[in-house]
Amino acid sequence: MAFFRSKKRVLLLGNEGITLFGPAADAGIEREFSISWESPDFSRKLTEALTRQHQDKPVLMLFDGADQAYRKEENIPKLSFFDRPRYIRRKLEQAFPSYPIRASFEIAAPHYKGAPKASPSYLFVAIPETDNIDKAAAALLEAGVPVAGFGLLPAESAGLVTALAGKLFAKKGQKSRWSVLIGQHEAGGLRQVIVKDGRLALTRMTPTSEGALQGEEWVEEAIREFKASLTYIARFGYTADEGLDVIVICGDAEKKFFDQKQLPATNFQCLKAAEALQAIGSRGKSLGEINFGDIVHAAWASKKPFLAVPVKVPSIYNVMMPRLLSRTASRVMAFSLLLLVGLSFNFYIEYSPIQESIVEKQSQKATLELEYGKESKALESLPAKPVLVKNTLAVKKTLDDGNINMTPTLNLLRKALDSDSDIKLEELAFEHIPPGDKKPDARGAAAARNAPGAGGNRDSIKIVFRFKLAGTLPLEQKVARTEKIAETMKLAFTGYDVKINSQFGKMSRTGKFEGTAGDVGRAAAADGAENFAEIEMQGAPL
Amino acid sequence: MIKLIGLRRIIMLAVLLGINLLAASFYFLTLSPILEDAQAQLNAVDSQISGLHGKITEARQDMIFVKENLSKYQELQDKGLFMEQDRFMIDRLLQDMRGKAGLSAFSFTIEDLKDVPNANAESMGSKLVSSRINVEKIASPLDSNIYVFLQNIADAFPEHTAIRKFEIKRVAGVNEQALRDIYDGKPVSFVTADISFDWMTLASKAAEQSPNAAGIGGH
Repeated sequence: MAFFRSKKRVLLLGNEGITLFGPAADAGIEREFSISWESPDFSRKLTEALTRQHQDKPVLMLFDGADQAYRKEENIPKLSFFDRPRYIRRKLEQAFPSYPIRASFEIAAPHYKGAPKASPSYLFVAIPETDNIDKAAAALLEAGVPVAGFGLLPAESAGLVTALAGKLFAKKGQKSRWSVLIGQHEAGGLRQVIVKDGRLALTRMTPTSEGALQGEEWVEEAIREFKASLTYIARFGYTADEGLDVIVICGDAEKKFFDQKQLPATNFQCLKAAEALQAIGSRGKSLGEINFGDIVHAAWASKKPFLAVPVKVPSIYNVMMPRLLSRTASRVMAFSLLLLVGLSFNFYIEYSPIQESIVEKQSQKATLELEYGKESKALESLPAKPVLVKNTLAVKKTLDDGNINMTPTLNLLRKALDSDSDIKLEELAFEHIPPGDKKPDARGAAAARNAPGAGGNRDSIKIVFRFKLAGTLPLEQKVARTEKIAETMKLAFTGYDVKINSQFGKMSRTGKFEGTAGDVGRAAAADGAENFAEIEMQGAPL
Repeated sequence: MIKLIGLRRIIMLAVLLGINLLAASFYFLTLSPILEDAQAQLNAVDSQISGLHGKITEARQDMIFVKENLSKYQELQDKGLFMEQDRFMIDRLLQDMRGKAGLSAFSFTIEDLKDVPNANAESMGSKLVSSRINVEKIASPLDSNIYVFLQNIADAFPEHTAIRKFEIKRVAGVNEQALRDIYDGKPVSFVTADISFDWMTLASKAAEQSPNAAGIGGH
């Protein structure tokens, strides 16, 4: 069963005439039409054949004439991406100066592991401009059929030879490096395509005499021409050690004669066209007992998505490009139409649920509005608006936070002083210092900030008290008592900064000191000095 | 061109182009805007629903809050947090407090009404106002009278008062002259004091400042 369907028609341009192949109904290929170049009304008949059926299928033109020139160009210097095409074009012009139709094809160099990457070589091809090509182009123009391109049969069929050889001789020991496909073409002669390592090495087209188109005579001629080809490839370095697979497309009658001959080849197989088509996954229609091999080349070329060596022939190109563009434009527009249809379909898929959601949510919204209305009414019925209650309480909290209750502080001070019953309080000052106030000294503010539970920048209080001591104590003892009281305050008011502002008799243990010795005036001197002390405390409110 | 491409294909191209243009116009000028409008409408309804959910939740929370705190609010209202600060009223209050505390005499000054920045007060259309009241030269035979006066401030004045400064000083000792004055019924002061405190209330922002809110002084 064929695994592909031929979608292109193939127009084979031979030495004697043309042959048209087209896709068959059963996924194969069929010969649609053949005509000699010399036939009267050539263009009209070809046009009719082209328009008779498969008019929408693109026509691939394969040149199968004898006058094809090939040349392999090696040692291409390393050039930039932009310079190389110009260089190749110039080399191609130099190689075939008298051929107006030229093409080149890059052959990737084989890469062996560890070896440096070799520069690629090029296959240069050229054909002389002939009137026959123009006649075929005119028929194509007249027929209005799309053109798939213009290629050279041997260059396109190199892969066919490799594929057939692989299929037929894969199980027969070591793989041969050389393969030959020989076939009689209806509109030409005997075509030999020789490949080495999968690449086109040599091709020959030799005319066949009228009486030797089939049977033993054809076989003898084919063997003779094959042997001639052997002498050519021997010049390219062929030796029998490298192996040579030979495939011949022939009829049943020719098969018998081939079997009796001894050919200098590693492997040999004579195939009918139908067998060869089957080997490449195609099938022929109404082939009969003919031994023509061109249908195999046509089937191979028709399934290729791209030509190996596309050749730009002006007369063909002028017909091909507008049609190709129009076909591409049609496809693009058909695709865009499909896309728009898809988008429109998608619109209905998306729009319908959105509309349903809107209806559903509008209803939900109405219910919520009703609910909110009820809640709002309930709020309005309250004796005070929530915002008023919230903010009033917040203001009250702010005021309370900034307020200081003096009672605990004064109670603590009283308890601390109660332990010394001889203390007589003369003055007491209490000041509330707000956080931003810069009046208090830095020590006091720092003490307030560092107090236990202090949040950093907060209120502080300053307490200053002045006192006397009952009885008549010596000055030194009074000073000591004051210092003890300051220590008691430090213990009672944890974290407070406590300092003695003024000592009895304005005394200081390290400052200036005046006095008298002896009985005279000592008591008087004490009485004359200030007889009180003052302590200042600053810290966080209790 | 007709011969090159073919009349049939040219007609097909023209027809395809026309259908494409029609389909594109229909989609981009009609269907697409309808879809966008519908999507926008759906988003708007979604947003409104979300907003309503938020409002209902907020209203319920407000209701609970007001029910829980209405008594506190009314108490503050009753205590005079929203009262206008009248200087004559302060004068009367201080006179009354002097009598209750058994103080001999004092002088006082009330500074001009000041606005205290407060965001909560602003957001309910009010302003927090404060009057600094300085009570000076409080003469008293005992310091306990002064403490009574001090403690009465918070109760006598409507919400809210804050003591800023307090100074108490012994000015004279008990001597023969003082005892004779007591015997003769003359006022005797062994202790003097100065007290500064702020009286703060919430006033309506729209309300003009009353002429009675200006600072005054008295004895």
